[in-house]
Amino acid sequence: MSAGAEITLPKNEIVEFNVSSLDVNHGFSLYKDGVLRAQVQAMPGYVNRLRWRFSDSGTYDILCLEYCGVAHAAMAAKIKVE
Amino acid sequence: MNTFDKKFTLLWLITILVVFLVAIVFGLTMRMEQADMVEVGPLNFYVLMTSHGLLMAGVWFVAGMAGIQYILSRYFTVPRWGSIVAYGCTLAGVVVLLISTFLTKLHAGWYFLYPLPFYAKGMESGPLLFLIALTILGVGWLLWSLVLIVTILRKYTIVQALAWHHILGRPDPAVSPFILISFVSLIGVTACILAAVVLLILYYIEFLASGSMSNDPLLMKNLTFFFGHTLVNEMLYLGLAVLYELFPKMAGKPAYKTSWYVGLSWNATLLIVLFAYFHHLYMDFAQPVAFQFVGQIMSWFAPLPAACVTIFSVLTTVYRSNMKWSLASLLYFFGVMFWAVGGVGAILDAVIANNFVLHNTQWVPAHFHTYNLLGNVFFSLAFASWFADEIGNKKIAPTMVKIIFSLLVIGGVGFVLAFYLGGAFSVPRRVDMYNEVVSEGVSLAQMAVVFATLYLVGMVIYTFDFTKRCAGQLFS
Repeated sequence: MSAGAEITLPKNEIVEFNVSSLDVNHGFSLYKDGVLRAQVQAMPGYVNRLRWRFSDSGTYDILCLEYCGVAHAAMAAKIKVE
Repeated sequence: MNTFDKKFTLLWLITILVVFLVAIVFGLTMRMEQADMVEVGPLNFYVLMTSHGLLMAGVWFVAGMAGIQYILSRYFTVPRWGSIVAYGCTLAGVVVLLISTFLTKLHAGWYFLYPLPFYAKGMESGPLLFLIALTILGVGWLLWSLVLIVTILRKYTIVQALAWHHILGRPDPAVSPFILISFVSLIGVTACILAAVVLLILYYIEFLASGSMSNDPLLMKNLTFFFGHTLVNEMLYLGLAVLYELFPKMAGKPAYKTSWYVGLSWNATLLIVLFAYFHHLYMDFAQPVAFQFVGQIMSWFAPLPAACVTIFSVLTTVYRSNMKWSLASLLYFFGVMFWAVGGVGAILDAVIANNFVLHNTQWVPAHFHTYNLLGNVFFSLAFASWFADEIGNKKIAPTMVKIIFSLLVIGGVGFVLAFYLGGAFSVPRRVDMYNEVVSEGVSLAQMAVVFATLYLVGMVIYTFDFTKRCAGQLFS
């Protein structure tokens, strides 16, 4: 998913994220109310599979957690869980 | 001890202190940017971050090596050319490095995680200059390490230098802990620099191939962390080797001897530290699972032999001693204690379940700044302080000791505390500004600026006092 995107996912079901990168290493992290809940690295050429059950509904923030260049701090997106 | 050894060690120490001050200013500017107190912009922030990390890793590595060279020359005739070549390469490497970061705006971070140097560049020449800088530094440091290893092996066999005969209970030939720890650390240094050589060769091949081939990111990541993690640990052990030599004498106690458990612990450290780096790749689920388990087990065991034996030795040395506390002995004693605190932080982060929510948060700079800023740096400052007392015209004033020590400890503890709190609040590391999700980062950065300034003031006073007491010896 791209930076700034927002998707909706189901609560209490296992969701599998297939995480990779088209350029450099990034970090895919899930925050809920400012608390880091889960993360995985996004590495070019490899797919890291993160299986996660969202136990709380609401909005989750996705931040990049691996330094990836000048736009690193701006890499963010949201997930809505219902 | 001849005059050349003293003068050249003094030259190293003055250079190190000046570069350290510059690197602190870079780091302080980064925290001020995060605290919204200045505005340097994201590109300059990451240029500063790259320069800060590489200068800090480099300067405290050479500080450890300069200490080893000086103490080793009390045992043997150590060839001068290793240290001279390393000094020249360090100066040249730093100049090219700063050109690559500040002029070409390369901003790949201190461990230049592949393939970031090919992306995080301002000018096309940036990556090549950056690789050339690392090559110059690597060549100089590798030669220096090999010269010191060969020097030790002129007197002892490898088995003796590793103190295996002491582990088996045989007393002769006597190998001091300083020789053992130096030898073990130099082997580790050589191993990680060789990994860096392979890494750089792979980078050069891809650079010269101009897009017709690319390297495997997972292999490059393993090489990067084997190099980076091992280097920062070994440079700390270099400082500890000197501590083992000097600290008992400061307490008026007999010199340490290599008992079977000291020999065993440092041999174990030699092996364990080489495999602990896997904990940097816990969040890379594509990494073979066995490596993840090895990483966790080795990370748990890594600090046990060296840290436990050293902490026990230092505490028993101080207990019922006639220690006249000087700046050097204070820095050694508290450096070991802070190293232990940083070690606990590191072990917590190296537990896979914890790493899931701590990796790449400010918990990481919290623990490594604890055992660097308050541990490794203290070891080298202690050596420099002892050295200044040895060769300087006059001793440091007691008031000056209190001022410098208080500023370094209060400034250092407050500075790392802001990082620990940041880790506990899930604040990411390595960002020029904080997303609203982690807005606590701003106030913690403001806190860090205050304490980092105290530490900087302490270091300015330390450097001024050191230079005033010793600089005349350079030209005498």
